[in-house]
Amino acid sequence: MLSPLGRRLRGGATAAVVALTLLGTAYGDDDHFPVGPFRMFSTKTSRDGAVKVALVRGVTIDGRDVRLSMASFGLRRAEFEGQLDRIAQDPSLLGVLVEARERARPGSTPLREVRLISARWVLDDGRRVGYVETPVAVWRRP
Amino acid sequence: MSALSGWWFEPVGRGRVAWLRTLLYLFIPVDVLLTTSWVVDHADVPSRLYQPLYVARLMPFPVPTAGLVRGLQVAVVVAALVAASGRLPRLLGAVVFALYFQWMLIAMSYGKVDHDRFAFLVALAVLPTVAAARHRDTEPDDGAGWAVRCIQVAVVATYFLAAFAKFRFGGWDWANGATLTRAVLRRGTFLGTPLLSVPWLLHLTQWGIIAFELLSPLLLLRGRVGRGMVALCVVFHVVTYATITIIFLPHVMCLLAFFRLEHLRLPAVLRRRSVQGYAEPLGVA
Repeated sequence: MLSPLGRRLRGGATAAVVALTLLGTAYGDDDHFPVGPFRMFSTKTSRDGAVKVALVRGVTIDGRDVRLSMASFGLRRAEFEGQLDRIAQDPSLLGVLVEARERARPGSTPLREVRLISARWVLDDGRRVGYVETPVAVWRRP
Repeated sequence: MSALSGWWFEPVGRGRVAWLRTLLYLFIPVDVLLTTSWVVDHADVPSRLYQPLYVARLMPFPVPTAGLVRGLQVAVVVAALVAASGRLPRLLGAVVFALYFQWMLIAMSYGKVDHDRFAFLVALAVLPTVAAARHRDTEPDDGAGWAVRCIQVAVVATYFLAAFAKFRFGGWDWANGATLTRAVLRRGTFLGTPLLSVPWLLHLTQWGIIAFELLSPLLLLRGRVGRGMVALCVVFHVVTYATITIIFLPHVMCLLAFFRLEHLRLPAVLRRRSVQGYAEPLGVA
């Protein structure tokens, strides 16, 4: 059985975590992990809006157009998307990622150009009716 | 207040904590090496892409380097395997919590935060608060009861508060949007993609998700309602995985806290081995 002190300590810790979690849901954001809001899929996509997805395309040193997996840069797609604005403002980040990719995977085909693209499916009453790709950042081998 | 306290400290057999230790600690190598193996990929990501979370900024934790990430990966797995043996449950449990928490900060500090870990982190935090226990110990204990209740409440909070995150970020009419269409377009499997041609079904499912999340406290009820809700949770996660390949595995593991594991009996063959082996550590009653 727990001592009175053991109970009080556990009760206090419980109250603190519950309070932080509720505050996180009401006012916090992802930055407050692990007590931030449980917000996966919490934003609303308009039925007449668009669905965005980031993708990376590149041109190999011998001129072939290729679609590059995001994992080959060590990031998940959602992580690229989470930092899309940063990379758009500072495309040199794309170059830093390419260098790191080549260091981590020396056997991979060298690239002379990499484009981070924001693709959009256009929706009409919840059905897809169009698809557009817009480059967000471009890196070219100097 | 005393009713709430009585409920939160309602004794359960210590064997449940012993089982949860074995199963959750053994799950960590699966999680780290297999089901969320993308975390270690952060080892090769340039530090300019590192966006430390609030807690990571508070702690004296260096910017993750390749060596640090790979070293931590090994440390988490080894510590979890040793802890799964049931030895030194308080000390090793605390070490596992600290290492895994650090692992999660590395996982979530590169531009995307998942919310599938809350209950698992709570479980790792509370398991070390219970003294050594045998798997078959059915003697009710309020310390074990508190730990189990914390895990259960964290599971419920993950669903219940997710509904409020949808109201806050998506609006009260979140369910009338096309969020599932987005999910399927982005991640649809061969089972999920055909749903794009049935938008009304995706629309209806969104209402179902909100209802399910708001009804999640029913998990805490005993009897058929509680059991039915656990089954519904499992179905929800399996269908989500089958259609958009998202599964909250660490969270699903925590659903085990709703089962009376202390009454579980190993097959005779395993039981004989476990007398000398890991399953019956430290003869504390």
